[in-house]
Amino acid sequence: MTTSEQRIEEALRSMASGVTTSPDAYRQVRSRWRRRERRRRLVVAALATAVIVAADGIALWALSDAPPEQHIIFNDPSAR
Amino acid sequence: MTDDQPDTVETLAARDADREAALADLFHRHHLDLVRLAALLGAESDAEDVVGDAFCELHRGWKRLRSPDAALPYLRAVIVNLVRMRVRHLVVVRKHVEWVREDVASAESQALVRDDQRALVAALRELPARQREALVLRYWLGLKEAEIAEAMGISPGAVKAHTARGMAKLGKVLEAQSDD
Repeated sequence: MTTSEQRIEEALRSMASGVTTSPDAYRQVRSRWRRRERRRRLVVAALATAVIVAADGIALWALSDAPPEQHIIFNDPSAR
Repeated sequence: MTDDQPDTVETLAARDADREAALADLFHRHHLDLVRLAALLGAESDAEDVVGDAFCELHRGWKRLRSPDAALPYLRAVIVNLVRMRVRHLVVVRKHVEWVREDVASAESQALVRDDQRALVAALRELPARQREALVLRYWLGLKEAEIAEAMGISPGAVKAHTARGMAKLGKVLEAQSDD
């Protein structure tokens, strides 16, 4: 290692030694990642619910919109 | 990381517990060094926040890791990216607002820097982001070229070029100091 490299390394070490962390950093970060995970699961559950509700709504609308003599689910061709 | 067991309530809970334990271990072993890395890269007083965000990213992407050993390089890469984004954001903010350089964290770290190192530290702060990243990862963390390339998301050849350019600029500062 050259002298320049050594001096850069020393300067970086000096700069870094002035940086400290808060004592309850782990607790704070853990609560942050747990909160994000909860929010992510909530969003996924909400989206899944929305998709199911939309599919049910479309199916109900299709069933209720058809005339009673037209069988849209069970269609027996021999009955024609 | 993949788990061959089927997804049941018990296996999912066990996986969550394993992930929390692994993250706690990683946090206690490397948190201070990672905060210092973020500060040296230019995050200054936001360094702890940046590292916190990186751990949240790791928590979210834990399943996609190749192995537990890949966690630390992943954290370093996320930190490098987040700091780069923060520095870019600050450059835009400083263009629009009259900026008074008053930073507690940088003031604290400046206090521990010797007089003969101040010019070098100032020159390091003025380097373009990529050159600064390459030099910090090499001379402070002591990483190899391939590891630096992985953290910065560039090729080893580009790492070599950024390191050489950064060293050339700092070399001028060092020369000027030895002339005085």
